[in-house]
Amino acid sequence: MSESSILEPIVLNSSELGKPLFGCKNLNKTFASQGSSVEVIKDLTLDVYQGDFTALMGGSGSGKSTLLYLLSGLETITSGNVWFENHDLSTMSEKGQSILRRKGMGFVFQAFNLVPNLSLLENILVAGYLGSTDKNSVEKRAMSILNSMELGDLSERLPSQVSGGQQQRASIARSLINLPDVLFADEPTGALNSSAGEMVLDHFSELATQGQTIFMVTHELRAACRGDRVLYMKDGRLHGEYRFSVLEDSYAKREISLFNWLSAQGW
Amino acid sequence: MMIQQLSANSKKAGLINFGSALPGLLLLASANIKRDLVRTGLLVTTISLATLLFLTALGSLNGLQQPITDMMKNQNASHATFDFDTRIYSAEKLSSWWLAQEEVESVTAMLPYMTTSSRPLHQDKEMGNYLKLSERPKGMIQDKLKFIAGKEKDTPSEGELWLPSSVAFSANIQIDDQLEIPTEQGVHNFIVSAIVVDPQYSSGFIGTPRAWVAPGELVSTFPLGSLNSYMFGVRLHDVDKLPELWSRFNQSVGGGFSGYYLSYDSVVSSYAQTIQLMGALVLIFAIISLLVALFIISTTISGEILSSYRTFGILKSLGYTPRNVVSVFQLQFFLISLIAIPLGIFGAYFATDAMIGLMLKSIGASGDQVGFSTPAIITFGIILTMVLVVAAFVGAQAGKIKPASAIRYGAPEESVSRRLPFHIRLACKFPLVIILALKNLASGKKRELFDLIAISITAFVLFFSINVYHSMSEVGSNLPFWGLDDSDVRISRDTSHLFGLSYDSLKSHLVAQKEVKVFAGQNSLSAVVPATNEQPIKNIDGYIIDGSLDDIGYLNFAGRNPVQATEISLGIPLAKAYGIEINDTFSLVIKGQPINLTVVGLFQGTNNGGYFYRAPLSAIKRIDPNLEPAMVLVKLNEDVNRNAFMTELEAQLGQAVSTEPSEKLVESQLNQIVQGLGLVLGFISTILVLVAGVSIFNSTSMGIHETKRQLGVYKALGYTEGQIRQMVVVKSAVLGVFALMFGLILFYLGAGNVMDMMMSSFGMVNFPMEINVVGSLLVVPGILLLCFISAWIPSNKVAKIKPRTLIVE
Repeated sequence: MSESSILEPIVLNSSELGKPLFGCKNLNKTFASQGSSVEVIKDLTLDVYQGDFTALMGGSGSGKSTLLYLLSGLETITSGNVWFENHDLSTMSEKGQSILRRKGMGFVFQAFNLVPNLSLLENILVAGYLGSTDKNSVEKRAMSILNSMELGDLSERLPSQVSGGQQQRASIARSLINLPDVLFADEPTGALNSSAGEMVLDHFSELATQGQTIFMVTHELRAACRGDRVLYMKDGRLHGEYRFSVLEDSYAKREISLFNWLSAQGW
Repeated sequence: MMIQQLSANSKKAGLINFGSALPGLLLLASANIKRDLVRTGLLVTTISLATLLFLTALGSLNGLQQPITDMMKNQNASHATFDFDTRIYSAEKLSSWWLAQEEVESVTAMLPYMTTSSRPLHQDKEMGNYLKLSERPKGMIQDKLKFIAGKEKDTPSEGELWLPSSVAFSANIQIDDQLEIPTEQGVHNFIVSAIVVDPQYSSGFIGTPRAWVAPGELVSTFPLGSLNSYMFGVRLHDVDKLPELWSRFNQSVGGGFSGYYLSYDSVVSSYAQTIQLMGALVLIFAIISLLVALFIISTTISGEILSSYRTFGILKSLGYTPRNVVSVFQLQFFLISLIAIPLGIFGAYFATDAMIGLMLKSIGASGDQVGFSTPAIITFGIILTMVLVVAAFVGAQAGKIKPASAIRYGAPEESVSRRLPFHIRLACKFPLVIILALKNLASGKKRELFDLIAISITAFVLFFSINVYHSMSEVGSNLPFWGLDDSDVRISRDTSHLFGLSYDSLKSHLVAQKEVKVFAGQNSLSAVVPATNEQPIKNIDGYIIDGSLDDIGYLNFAGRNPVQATEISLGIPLAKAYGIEINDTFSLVIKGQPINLTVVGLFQGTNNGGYFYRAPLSAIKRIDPNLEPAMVLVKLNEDVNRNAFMTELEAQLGQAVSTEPSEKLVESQLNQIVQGLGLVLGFISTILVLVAGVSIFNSTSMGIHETKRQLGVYKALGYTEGQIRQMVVVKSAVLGVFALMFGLILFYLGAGNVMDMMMSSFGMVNFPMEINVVGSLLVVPGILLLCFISAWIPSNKVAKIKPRTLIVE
């Protein structure tokens, strides 16, 4: 994605909400250790809509990453319900959740978490082969995604042989290989420098434009501005929700209005 | 909390020195121990097993030498024992000559003895040995007996028999059992009233063993005319003077004593050779397993570094020196060793006792009689030192931790930069989990290499143990390689009767038998090798053979069998000792007459430790024209029922002959070694299987611990717990397959050499390895099962891996 396109006004579609794709109801999560316990998520109810790019913000320890992992089934809940499409994750077996994750969910982590002994292409295939029996088409699709991420020439490099930004883009490519219903991203720009972070965010924006549902945890204003709506968490509860309007047609405008809103929330 | 305390310490001390850091380091070390009690338990087990095996080997070897010389001393054993025929030598003159020598301390009374004409029967089964029945005089103070079982008395009562321990143990004879000995007066029954340690005869490797009967018993049991055999023992002030005296003695009897001479060295080596074999085996494998244990310890410490990476980064940022950080590991393993090593020593106490008890069973010794504390202290020192050195060496990695990346990432920066040999695209052809397991293995670290070494050694030891045990227990199928003939049946003529069956009559009878393919007469005949500049005069044994040595199956390691009357072949140790090569002339004295023969062949064999010769009868006929073989070796045609042939022959010729399967002779001799070897090899194999199992278990759990982030990624991508566990197990199984291949190669290349080295003192320079195909094949599923179980159990840790580990706050 070129530098100039970042400055172009984006087309907003937040006026029309899709149908809920996943969410939770009266969700609670408590971590217990050596006699003491910490209540991280408190009676939280949330719907995430298909095609929505949701950014989840909050201070340190507010429970935002925990919520992401609870919604994706990677963390067990203490009470309440988490649902995904027609499935109740709260009652689903671990194996069932694994199978659901293969095709339904993609993940992008702050620390990239590419498998170090696999090349970039292999890192994508290791996810792709799980979700499809047609291994040839998986490979073609993997190369196509890598090319779109401008990583085609680096496909046989190991993660340690490319930059952090390139690793994160490979991570995004991996998350997309099975055409997931939702892309979960946990601080995807947290370990990147400014320009590499921008490049990654451009990819997220482009995916959102194509209708990809994205649920992203971030503490960066510039990253949250790429979303359709911003959720703000405080002390394990959903404290507020902000949806960008069509009038906020540039990132600069969005950042100002989001900053004001967050300040009002006590950010 | 711990970090806060350390931080407080560091503020007081500035750059922390070891003394001020010690409480903090102790706190960290004990926290490491408590953090994963299963892993700590495995470490304790590993170090304990290494201690157990090493100390058992050391303790056994230490305890094996002294008891034999102690036994000879405590039982006032004769340093030389002589058997002779009163028709050739005067008992009085022989006794007088020895008593007259100033080096001689004492001489026993002349003891009449009678060699049984056939093997005694025990519970209707023929025993493995003939016996020399000898009268035990009252008040005998030289060659005292040690009673292992039965009531201790001065002499046996009438009708009683005292058996040497080796004979009783190999035939499983108990007190009050009855032995049937065929005599002229029919079957004479003796009751075994004692099992004794008879110094010269309890090893089981000295010709015909001696059994004691009551004074005067032989006269009432056997015809007086047949009682021409006597024996006596000589004890010297200084046993080192024996060769010189022996040489003088030979000169005094006209150039060569024709009776049987048993020297102190022969007696001691007859005990020691078995013990040395087993002791050497234990020691070799103890060192190997000690190394394996150290590998495991080093990889464990590496794992500890990874799992405590962030903590050590913080410590370094607080001012802890690299030396302080290394000390954490040394303290940790010091504390673990303080528990593990005593546990190993405790186990080794019993294992050593059992091992020595088994090896010295025939002399009635046990581990209690040998010093255990010195080897235990030495082992404690060695193991502890090695553990601390390894901890320091490997722990030095922790000293090199870069605080910034350690604190930030909690792990070292990615270091994988090696291109791997195959692509994940292979998953189009093979299951994905197998490809991923192979990728993980190919990018493996030292730990996988150490596992491979540990399992390979275990596979080698299992192949080795099974096939060596099989080779020795199935010696009957491989007799020529053990220095014996390839006959099917041995026929012994009864030579104690003047009018017994002549050799020519037996030959004529055999020629007429259609079942007989080929036969050869054979006689044992001792000879004397004159002293050389390097070697003292020495008694050796040999076979005189009438017939083709080739046809009856005698093999040579080099050269050929003797054919002409001027030829001889020698055992390899004998030829080596006297520097003899093929085509050299070998001088020896037979029946008092010197004879020079040309050496045409060298052979291996266990007879007399390889101090043995083979010569054609025609060579000896020059000295003794009347010599007739007492035994005939018979090779039968194919499809002949051996037992039926033996029964038929004995029915035709009556008591003039006795027959036995040819392998029986060597089997009875090797029985004790095989039993002992089985136990030693079983012990070593069990310990190594445990060590390998612990190694795989440990490295699998460490591997999961270290790669939990990676496994968490797989989980997040949708891999099920079962698939991830399969990856772990397949990786271990693939290691097992490679280890089997390496173990097999190691066995193929090394097992023969190990056995050749160890058996050389037995006269065997090329061990005839007999492969047990079924047993060897069982090693394959055995090793794979070991790998599977040892990896499957710890792989349940995968279930505990939470993708939360992927979150970097």
